[in-house]
Amino acid sequence: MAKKFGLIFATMALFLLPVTALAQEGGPTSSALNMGLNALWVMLAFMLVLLMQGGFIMLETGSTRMKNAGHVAGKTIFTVGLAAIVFWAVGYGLIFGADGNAFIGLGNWFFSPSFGALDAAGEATVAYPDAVFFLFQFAFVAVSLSIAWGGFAERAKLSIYALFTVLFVALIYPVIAHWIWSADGWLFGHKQDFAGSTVVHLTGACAALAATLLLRPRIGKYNKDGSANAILGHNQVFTALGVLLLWVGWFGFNAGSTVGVGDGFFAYVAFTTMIATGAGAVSSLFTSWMVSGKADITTTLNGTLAGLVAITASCAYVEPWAALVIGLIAGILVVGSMRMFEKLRIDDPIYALSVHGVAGIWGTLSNGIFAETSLVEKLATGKPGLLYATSEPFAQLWVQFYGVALCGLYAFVVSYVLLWILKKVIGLRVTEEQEIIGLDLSEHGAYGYPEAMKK
Amino acid sequence: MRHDSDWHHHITQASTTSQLFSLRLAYSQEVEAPSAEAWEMQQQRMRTVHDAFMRRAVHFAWAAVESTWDTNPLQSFAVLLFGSAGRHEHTSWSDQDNGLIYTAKQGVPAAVADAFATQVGGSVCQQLEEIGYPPCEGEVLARDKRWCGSLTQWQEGIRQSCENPDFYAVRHLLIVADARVIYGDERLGVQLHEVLHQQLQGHTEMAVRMLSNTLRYKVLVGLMGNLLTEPYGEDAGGIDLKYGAYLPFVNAIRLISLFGGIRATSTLERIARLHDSHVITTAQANMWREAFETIMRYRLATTHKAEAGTFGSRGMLASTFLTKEVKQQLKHIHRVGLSLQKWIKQRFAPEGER
Repeated sequence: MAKKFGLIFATMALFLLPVTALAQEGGPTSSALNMGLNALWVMLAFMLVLLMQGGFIMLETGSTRMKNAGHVAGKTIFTVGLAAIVFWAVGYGLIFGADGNAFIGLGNWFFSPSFGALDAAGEATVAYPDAVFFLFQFAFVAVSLSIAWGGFAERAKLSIYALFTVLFVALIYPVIAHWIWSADGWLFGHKQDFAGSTVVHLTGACAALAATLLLRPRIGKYNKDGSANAILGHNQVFTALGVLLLWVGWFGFNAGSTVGVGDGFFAYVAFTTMIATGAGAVSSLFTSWMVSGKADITTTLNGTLAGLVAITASCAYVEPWAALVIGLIAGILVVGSMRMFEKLRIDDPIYALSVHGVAGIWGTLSNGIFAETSLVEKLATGKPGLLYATSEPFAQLWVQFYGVALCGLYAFVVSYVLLWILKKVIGLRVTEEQEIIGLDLSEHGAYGYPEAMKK
Repeated sequence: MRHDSDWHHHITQASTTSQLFSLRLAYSQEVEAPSAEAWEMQQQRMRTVHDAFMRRAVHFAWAAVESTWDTNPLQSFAVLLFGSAGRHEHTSWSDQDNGLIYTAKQGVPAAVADAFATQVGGSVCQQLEEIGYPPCEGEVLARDKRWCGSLTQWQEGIRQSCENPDFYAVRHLLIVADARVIYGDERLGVQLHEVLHQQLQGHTEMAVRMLSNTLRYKVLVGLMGNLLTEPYGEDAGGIDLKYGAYLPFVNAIRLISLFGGIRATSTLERIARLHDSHVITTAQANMWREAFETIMRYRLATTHKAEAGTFGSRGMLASTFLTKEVKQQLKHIHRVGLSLQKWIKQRFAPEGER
């Protein structure tokens, strides 16, 4: 134990090195201290959001069958790695490149961050180093990508995962992120999406929708008469642990999006996040119980995630009671949505469309209703919501509406076209035989659970 | 359409298992054809014709074993039906749940009688399966030692189950409570019920154990009054009549009958006898009888299919059957079922758990 503490202190000392070095020459400036703390916070948030990939691995693996477990888990690691390279080469520049326009950023190709963030006098030149901002932004695109994989699950070729990673990180996600989060973006300053209900979740969900439509349902999901069969995931404990990991990581996602610690606002953002998530868990369980007679575990887990997704846009804009309402409604919506997609014969193995799509839309719209005046002024984005506005009560709701509609449309249409081309050129789906024996064997040559499976 | 007497005649005239199976196929096609006949008549016909099929198959089984032995070592024996057939509630797609009870001739070693009876039990199951009755998934079958034994062994089994009432013992007693003799010596069935009732009179605490085994049911109606249909599979959109309505009624009425001294095995007859004995009121008897008759009527409409030479059903009402009127009836049945369960809980649960 003592060794562990030693290691932790040594690590902290490394981070604080620039500050202590200055201290020897009369102490750090307050701007340097502020920058250093911001950098640490964003770095921690990046690590938390990156760790959400562990949540996706467990969630997606637990929700699918044993024969695909190794593939589902391994491809997440691989695609995150590939996404890092693509994001470094072009993705980051397409969002934040300074030479762009309202539609897309240009510049900063093969991003090369500065070595430090202090000038010769020891004053901070920026609020946080650009390298840490890059990392934080990268973790977001990686989350959006892993959401998209929900629509590919258990039937897409590994090569499609690789190719779509490049296309998504270069052509789909950066456009939406630029519109909303880049100072040049046409929705910047108007549309409220604090941590990415639209940018991250809806974008990923729209790609998942395009994929699942083009891939068609998994073998055995639907009967000839159109009725659905339950293809149960192989491990509910994995799924639950995946949700917990995502929940913890989400504090980096939402609270980390303050990208600063000075005013302590990050704690408030974390607080609303917690309330909405709890509400999502509770309302989904009760809704499931009311409509099906059983408190379904999968539905409860999805409701918890729906609470998180919905509050992502509004976590910095709403009061605690509104966070509760947003989470409660998200938990109810997700139950209806899961049933609706199933009725529409859209096979969504991980429920990405409901959890990230429908809850993402609701979360974005909820700003237009619940955004509180002083918080809107603090964040200097958009106007107060319907319940707080003193004039033009629907103004913000309208911005949120067309913002989410156009972002969703772009993400869906471009994903659909790109995947359609891939389908025509190389095909998206493994063969029936490969799908039946499982992607572990067909794509990787070994089962994730070798003792439990027979070749 | 052939008359009942024709069917019975043909069945008793069948001399081989394959002839019997052909007759069963023909009969299943006839009962599945649309009929304007009242459900009570259909049910009655179905019961008696299937009894005839099973009786003939058991006869083949008995004859096949007896012919291989020099002498029959049994003094008396009876083949018992359990489950829906035991309760006179079987349909064309019911599976087989059965057992065998016997007494040995004087001087015959127990092992010899046991060997003979075991052979008969095995043969009975095989014959029934060959004419299309799938074996019970819970292995309540005469080919199993637990369900094939001498009268003494059955008596001892009931006594032990009453004294060590774990989950399986309670299940054992509840199954025995529905026993009916289909072939052989009727008196053995009477004696079996006598033992069961005597034992239960001496073990009133069994009521509490049986109650907890009896209250489970599949919820048919949601908190908002919505009918809860099957979400997945071939029966998607349908209603699980078997576990949502039929079995909860059967279980509840059986429990009241066991502790009300009623020996009848049919649910409707049990209700009538309970009323005659003043265990239940006229209003209760009417309400429960009407609800159960509706269940029995709908039960004839549950989905069923012939598969690999046997006839089976999952007890589901298809979505196409669920008209507005049927849905309302099902909700009513659910309400009556809940009130019935509440009543037996008040009657049998220990104070503090009611």
